[in-house]
Amino acid sequence: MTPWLRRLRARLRYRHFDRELAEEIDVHRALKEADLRNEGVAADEARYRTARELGNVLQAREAARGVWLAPWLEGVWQDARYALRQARRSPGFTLTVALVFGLGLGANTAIFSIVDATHLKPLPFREHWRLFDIEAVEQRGTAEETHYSGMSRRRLESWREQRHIFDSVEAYRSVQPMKLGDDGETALVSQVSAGLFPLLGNEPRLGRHLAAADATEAAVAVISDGLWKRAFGGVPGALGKQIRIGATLRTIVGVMPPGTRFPLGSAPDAWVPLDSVEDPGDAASRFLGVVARLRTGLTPATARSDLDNAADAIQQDSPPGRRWEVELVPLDPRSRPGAGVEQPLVLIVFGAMSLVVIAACASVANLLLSRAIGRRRELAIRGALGAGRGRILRQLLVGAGLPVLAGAVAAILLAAWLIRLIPWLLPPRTVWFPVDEPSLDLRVLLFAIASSVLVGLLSNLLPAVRGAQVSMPGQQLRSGAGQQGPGRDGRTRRALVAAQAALAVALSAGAGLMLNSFARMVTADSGFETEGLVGVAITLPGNRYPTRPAQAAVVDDLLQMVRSIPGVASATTGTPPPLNVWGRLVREGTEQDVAAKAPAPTTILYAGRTYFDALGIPILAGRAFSPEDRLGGPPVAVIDEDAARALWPGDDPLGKRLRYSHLVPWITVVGVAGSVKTQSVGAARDSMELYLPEEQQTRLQGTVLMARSRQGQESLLAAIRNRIQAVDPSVRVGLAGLVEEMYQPILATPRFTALLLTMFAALAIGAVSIGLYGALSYEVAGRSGEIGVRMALGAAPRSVRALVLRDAAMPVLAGSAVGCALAFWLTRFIAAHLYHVGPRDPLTAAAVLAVLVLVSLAAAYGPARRATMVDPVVALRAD
Amino acid sequence: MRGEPPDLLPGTLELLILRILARGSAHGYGIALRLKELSDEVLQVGESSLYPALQRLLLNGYVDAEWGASANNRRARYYTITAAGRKRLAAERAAFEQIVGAIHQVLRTA
Repeated sequence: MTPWLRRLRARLRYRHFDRELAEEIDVHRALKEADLRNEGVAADEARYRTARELGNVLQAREAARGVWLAPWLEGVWQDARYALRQARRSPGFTLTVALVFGLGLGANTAIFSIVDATHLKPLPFREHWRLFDIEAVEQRGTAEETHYSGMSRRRLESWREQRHIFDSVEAYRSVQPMKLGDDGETALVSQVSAGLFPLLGNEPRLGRHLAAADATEAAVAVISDGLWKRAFGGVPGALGKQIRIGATLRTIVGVMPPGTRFPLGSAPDAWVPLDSVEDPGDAASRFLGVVARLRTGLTPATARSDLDNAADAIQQDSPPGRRWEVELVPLDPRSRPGAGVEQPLVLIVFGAMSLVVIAACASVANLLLSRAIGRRRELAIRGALGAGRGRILRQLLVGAGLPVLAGAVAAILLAAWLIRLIPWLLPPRTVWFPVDEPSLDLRVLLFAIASSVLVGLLSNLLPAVRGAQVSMPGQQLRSGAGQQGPGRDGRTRRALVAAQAALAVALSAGAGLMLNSFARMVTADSGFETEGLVGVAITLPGNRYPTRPAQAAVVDDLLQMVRSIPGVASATTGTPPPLNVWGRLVREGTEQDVAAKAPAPTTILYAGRTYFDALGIPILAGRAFSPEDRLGGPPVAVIDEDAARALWPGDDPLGKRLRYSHLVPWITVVGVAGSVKTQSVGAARDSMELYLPEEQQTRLQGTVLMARSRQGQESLLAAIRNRIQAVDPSVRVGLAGLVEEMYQPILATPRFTALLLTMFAALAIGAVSIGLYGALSYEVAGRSGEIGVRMALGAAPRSVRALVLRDAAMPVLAGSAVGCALAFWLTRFIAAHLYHVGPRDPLTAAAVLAVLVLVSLAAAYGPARRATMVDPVVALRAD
Repeated sequence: MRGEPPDLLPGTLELLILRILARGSAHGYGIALRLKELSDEVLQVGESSLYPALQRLLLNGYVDAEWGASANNRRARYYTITAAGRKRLAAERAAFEQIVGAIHQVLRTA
């Protein structure tokens, strides 16, 4: 056997070896004794001499054990076994610690997985830092602009030729919903150019990429893993099968691996060649996104200046009257300046959870300290028997390590469950995480383990060190040493209880505020009347309505038809608030006027003639749009009260001018409207709105018909569809449904985060409460000796209970006071996310305090009562 | 906790055990008897201190052990030196004699 194998065998079976050795030494002794007796030595003398000459057998056995298994390792193993026995004797303690840690760490890990998914995980593309979106803003004529950035296919080739800047340039269109097969399931489909996935570096798990030839030849598609499993059962034979997407029967040539997300922020079911779709869909999906891979070695700064030069060169070729602006924007939405307003909320929650974990540590430290003090006598005996400080310290650490380990395991299980729960909380089809779902991957697991270790150390170090300080063994061995009472340790423990109470109050306050805010959010006012308002998006085919008057005419017809539906109270065209585009407002003034710019981006909504009436948006000053505001006339706009306040504080905005891009002329403000929620119904601060008359749009290729009626939604939608068909069947219908529901994906964010926050806060409170309860019970139980004395001296049980409760309540109240102050200071961080709830809501604070005091009293009362019921003599003897 | 007596160079005990076993197999008591014959001082801390040394030799593969019947019909463990053990003995012996020679040298000439 090789030495390693021998050693391993010895380590694993060292106890067996030890027994063998004991037997061997015994034989040695027997032989020696026999020999001595044979020499004539008396039996007693022989035994005595043998023992003496044999020497310290125990030491020899220990030395032999040391040969097989390092002594320190054996010591740790011994401590571990002792810890297990202890745990079995007092399961409540172990359970409490495990529960506290499990809840706190588990929730923290789950939050970390979200932080990881939103902030830390890199995009799943090859060298993602070299991927950029090329955003081009084009102006045609003098008054019009495409204010969502986009590009045309012709331009694509010009960019492809810039080989000195880009390795490859590919294009894609946003997802659009299309009918799948014959049974009407809706699938999200994105059109992509052939080289897109190779550019990104995503390989198909089955089959091949789209090829350049596919666009013109066959009708093909690459499908997602999800669709592959749903429609074809995940069999390899799906390749080559056909599937009907929209109106085209396509052959499946490839399957992408699970988790393929492109375009970012969506989870398409299928990718088809660019412009092979007969239905161009609505305005949003006609947007052509361009993604490029920067040439190796080129820095973004150099690329940007090269890009500007190239743009100028390309513009030489374009027809006069068209102006360009090009920008290179990182593909990763998190790298963009001003990324994500909602994201900081996740970080705040993470910070809060870390506080919870610290509170949990304080909890556990308190418990362990109490226990260490209670074991004083036992530890003193160990010391007297020769155990050094280090040895005792190690034993205490290992002993406490067991419940921490249990807690860590519980934490990982809880985290896994919570993480799996998260997608259930989101409405279906929402892709809230731009990169990937949060999952219990390696990074998150490492975080859980690292934080468990840290937490274990934090909470055990103080109690272990204090416990190992058996400096005056004489004192410790006396009776009564195991009692809790005044003195340095008592003060430490009280301080810990106060700390826990403080943190509990602060956290509960935060949670209470969020709950309050959430409740209000759900019943929020969106600023306009959403009741029964439906919207139907229509797109006019370009070839049938090439001119603006033609477009206006057919839209008018459609509107008339909708108005004629029985039961319809009002109808209009325009942009429903949840669907919108963005711009940045600048008021007219001097060039250098920095304050002229609006502080935040503004949503731009197009309003048909009866828009404000139909939607129930109040006009607070000036007027709504009228027939005077027609195409070619002076540009006008209506702004909302937030914008008015931001751009002209204290001044009358009517008659003043502004614009949303420097490529358009100045627009006159003719009215101020009430604020409307466009982003999220529940945000405390919503964006500002700018309304432009639909009439003044130079191109009207699509709009949304909105109507309100006393009928049910389904019948109204059907009626609208019929009318549209009757007027012109070639008009395509896109999104259709309640305007209120168009918010859903946007609403998911605050709702989701509020729900998440509340859930985690509840867990946090739970963890801290349990810890508090445990600590207080333990402390009171440890005073049983003192209680016995008091009762023996004649104190009434009631007064003793009162004393105990008062003593227990003191640190809790002190801590709560500190907690309130802490809460006031901390809640300012979440003030931005509170909906109509002030950060100093007195109701919440009062509720929180009440809960905490109740918990503490409950914790102290039980043991106090039990202690007073015990016979004083027994209590005095128990130690 | 003391190991071998301070005046004994570490590892000497094992060397001596190997030397004894080189002559023939023996059990623990037998090795102790032989050692006693050769030098009384070696086992000042007790005969049981042989056993850790024997275990080390066993773990390193310099000796083999086998349970067999002893004089009084109790089973005892018999140790046999292995080929590796013999090699080690030769090497250790050379090294030991080198050290002792050096010490002698110093004592003579210093």
